[in-house]
Amino acid sequence: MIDHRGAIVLVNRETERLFGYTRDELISQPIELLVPQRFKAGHPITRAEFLEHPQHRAMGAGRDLFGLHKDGTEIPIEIGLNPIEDERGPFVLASVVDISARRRAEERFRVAVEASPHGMMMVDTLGRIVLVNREIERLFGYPRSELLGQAVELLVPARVRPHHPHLRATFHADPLSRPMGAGRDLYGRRRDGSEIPVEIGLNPIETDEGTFVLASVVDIGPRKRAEEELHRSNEELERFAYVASHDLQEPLRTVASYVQLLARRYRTSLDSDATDFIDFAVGGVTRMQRLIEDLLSFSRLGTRGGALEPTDANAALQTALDNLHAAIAESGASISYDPLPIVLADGRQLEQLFTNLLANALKFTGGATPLVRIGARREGRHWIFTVTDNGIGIEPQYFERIFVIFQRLHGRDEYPGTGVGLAICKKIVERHGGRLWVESVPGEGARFSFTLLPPPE
Amino acid sequence: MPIATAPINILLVEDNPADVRLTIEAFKEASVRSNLQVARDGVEATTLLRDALARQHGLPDLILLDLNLPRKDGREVLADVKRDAALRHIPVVVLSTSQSEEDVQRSYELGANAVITKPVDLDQFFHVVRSIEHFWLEMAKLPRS
Repeated sequence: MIDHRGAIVLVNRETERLFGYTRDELISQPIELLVPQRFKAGHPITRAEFLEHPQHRAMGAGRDLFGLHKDGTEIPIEIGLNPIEDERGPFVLASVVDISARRRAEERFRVAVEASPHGMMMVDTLGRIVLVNREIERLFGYPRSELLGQAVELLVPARVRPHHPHLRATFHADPLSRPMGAGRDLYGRRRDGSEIPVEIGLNPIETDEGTFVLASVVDIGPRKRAEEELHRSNEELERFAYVASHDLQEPLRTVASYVQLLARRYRTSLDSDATDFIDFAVGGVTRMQRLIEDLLSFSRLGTRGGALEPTDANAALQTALDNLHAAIAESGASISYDPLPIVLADGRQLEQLFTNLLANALKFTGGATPLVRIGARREGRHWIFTVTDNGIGIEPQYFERIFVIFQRLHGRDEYPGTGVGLAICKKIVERHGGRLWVESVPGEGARFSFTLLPPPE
Repeated sequence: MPIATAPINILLVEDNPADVRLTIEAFKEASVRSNLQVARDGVEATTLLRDALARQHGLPDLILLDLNLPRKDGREVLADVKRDAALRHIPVVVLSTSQSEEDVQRSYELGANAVITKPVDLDQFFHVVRSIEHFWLEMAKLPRS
């Protein structure tokens, strides 16, 4: 507390601690003792102004205030002023709060915001920009002096501008940390009028001036371009695969046809060696043709895939069983299955998945009559489908290899095939966001399992 | 069985020499005598047909047409033939390597009398040629020019 002349008449223990003086050293001293040098001259005027219009208020609104410690250091403080009328004259009771800790926290915050590789900016309750970092300056092409105090709509494309205040109000009505504009493409407007695609995260920040919004702004231009590039590259790859396979098939056809024509035309003058040679030649060509067809199918799984929709797995299984109807009849196979759920899938690819797994179960039997069981169970977020057979099984060391394209474990004479069936299965399952794996004991059959998701709620 | 007393004129429009020879070999085994004329691309085919029209002589009784030809595409040749009142009556059998549904559909829309995918296997190819003979040359009555 100070008197009308500015002399200190009363202090508490916290004042002593804060400024580093004993009360004896403070009582009767001018208050300017505790004011930093640069403010000392103006301080008496400030006091006089207060006494002219004494009211209970904070001192120095908007300004940063500092106190001067006995050892010469400055302390950031907040000061509340209370006029006291007494028969001895007007007094001023000042409450002084050390805000060093708060200042340090604010400084840390400011440093973190400034250093962030993402654009960070803070907007007040009226939608005015109160804080930006260097990245925002770079992203939008403005120096911060042209941004602070401006309406945030300055950075929003003109077509969205009228609607933006409403969006801000909606956020304030339910201020939760969240990404902005779910599902929409967001754009920012640069100083030069050009637009950049962005992702914006919104975070409410409680301040004593109300709920501010701290927005992180990320330029997703590079990512979008990369996605487009990937898409284009996939399309090109598919076109290439189609053309390559088509153009590769034609000379193969020629080779096969003429070798067969040779056999046909010179049948009577060819010995058994010659016919053997011809059979090998034609066999090679036929195999190559199948490899090319399989490679083309494999390459198309991603680019020609249909959209994932709620699909009845029972129907897909039935189609697969129909496809394999001849093989099932021939082998006398016994196939049983549980009722299957509705899953999120591309119907045709699901059919292909079942077809390939079942075809394998019917093929790799080692002579025994195939016994195949298809099941499905729910585990957490997924459905786990299983296809279990009683065939020759697979050695554990090959559990990964069998899913690699063109990898085969058996001779061509033992079991036909190009070794692409499981690679296709794996690619299909992965395209559906699932996993495919096998469990097996050699000689005791194998169980292939894969996960699929139910349709979204 | 109605057998033409004169050999049948067949125009084969095909740019692949290997396929040309195969077709010739296949027709050698035919029971019906045929004159096989070969055009290597669409322009040659069109020229050949126009010349025959001008001379009033030598128009084919059947056209075997490959779709993928240099210079002038087989589809264009097909469209031209079926648009021309003087040529429209000639049956055109499209022999193509393309299996795409769109191509098959398109060929029929342009007026092809039959679309056959070139089979991979020689026996199948000979079988196709024999079927063509049997149907077009032995069974069906062909309009004679």
